[in-house]
Amino acid sequence: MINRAIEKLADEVRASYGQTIAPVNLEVIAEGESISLVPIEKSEGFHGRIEFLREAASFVIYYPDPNFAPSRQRIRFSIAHELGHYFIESHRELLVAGKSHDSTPGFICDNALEVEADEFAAALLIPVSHIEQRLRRRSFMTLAEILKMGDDWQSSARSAAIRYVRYTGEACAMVVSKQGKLTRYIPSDEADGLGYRFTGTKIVPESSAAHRLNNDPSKHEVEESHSTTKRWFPYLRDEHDLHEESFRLGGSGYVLTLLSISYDEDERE
Amino acid sequence: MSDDPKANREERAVDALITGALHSWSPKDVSEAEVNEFLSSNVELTESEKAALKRVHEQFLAGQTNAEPSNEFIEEQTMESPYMAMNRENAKDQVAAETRQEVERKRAELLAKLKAKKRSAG
Repeated sequence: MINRAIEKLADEVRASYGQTIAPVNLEVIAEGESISLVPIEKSEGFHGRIEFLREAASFVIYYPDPNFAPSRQRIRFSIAHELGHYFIESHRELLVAGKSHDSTPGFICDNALEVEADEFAAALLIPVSHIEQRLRRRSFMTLAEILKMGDDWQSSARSAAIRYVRYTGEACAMVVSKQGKLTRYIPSDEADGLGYRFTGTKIVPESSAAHRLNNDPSKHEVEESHSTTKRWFPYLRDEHDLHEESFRLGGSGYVLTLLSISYDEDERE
Repeated sequence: MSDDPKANREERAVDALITGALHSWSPKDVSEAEVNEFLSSNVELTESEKAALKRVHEQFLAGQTNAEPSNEFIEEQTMESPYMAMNRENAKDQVAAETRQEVERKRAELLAKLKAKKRSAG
């Protein structure tokens, strides 16, 4: 489910700075707000930080220098996250009161603030109106289309997939795995409503598209497989057709999988 | 009897246990008062009766619900924000000392620059 208030705020920020086409220019937004963007070279384990410099009455965002950090999209997400702390009024008040913010665990003052800043970042980087527009033409998107959406908006593939899964009316779920082990599972509201709130497995099932990608590093395209929900949800009694699409996320060892569940409308209570 | 199938099963199970307990007493000859007296007493179940009751409970659960994944799955697969994982994954608990030093140095440089800009504007 998406946070309407944060979506609205992100829409307003983009509109204020004319950022209506892909990709969103974060530098323009920061400059417009007189926020200094300062790259940090020695950025291992560091994802970003926003501060209010009292002496200069000015905000600054430190972020990993793209020349020394592995993923430009990830840096964009971090900058957008810090901008979330600036644009969300209650966060800005804390910053002005002297509570700076590091995007690292252990330095988080309040998880709820982090969640809001994450939601803002995702909403800022891929407008919900774009997903709406795509889904107006057809009620679902394929993984290839989601990946292209991520590319177009210069947002990470994972963020684009989460954005889709959280917005779509399709019964589907995103799975992230690494070396055959599940690291994340995010169902759509529809899948959740059908009972697919959790998978019943900690490892990628044999014969699945994700399993084939794990076993064959030469595969760099979207891998597909058709099965039933028993494969990923063995504990559930109900069984539906399941379409799997998996994609290797660069050289990170992570595999992104989109599970699409087919069911009859009258099964939904 | 309730319309709720779950409640029906529970009621039928309780009825069956009571009937079974009364059966050896030749229920045809048992009056309402005797039944009430039996129900109000502290009935000690035998081991076999306890096992039978447990079986009824297990059968009831198996018939009514899907099996659930373990708490371990639930904890692993539940999070406040799916994006958080992306932003924090592999991040260290604390910013490295050299990162902090660089931040401090660049903050000082920025402050000097901003102050100079303010002076020249004023």
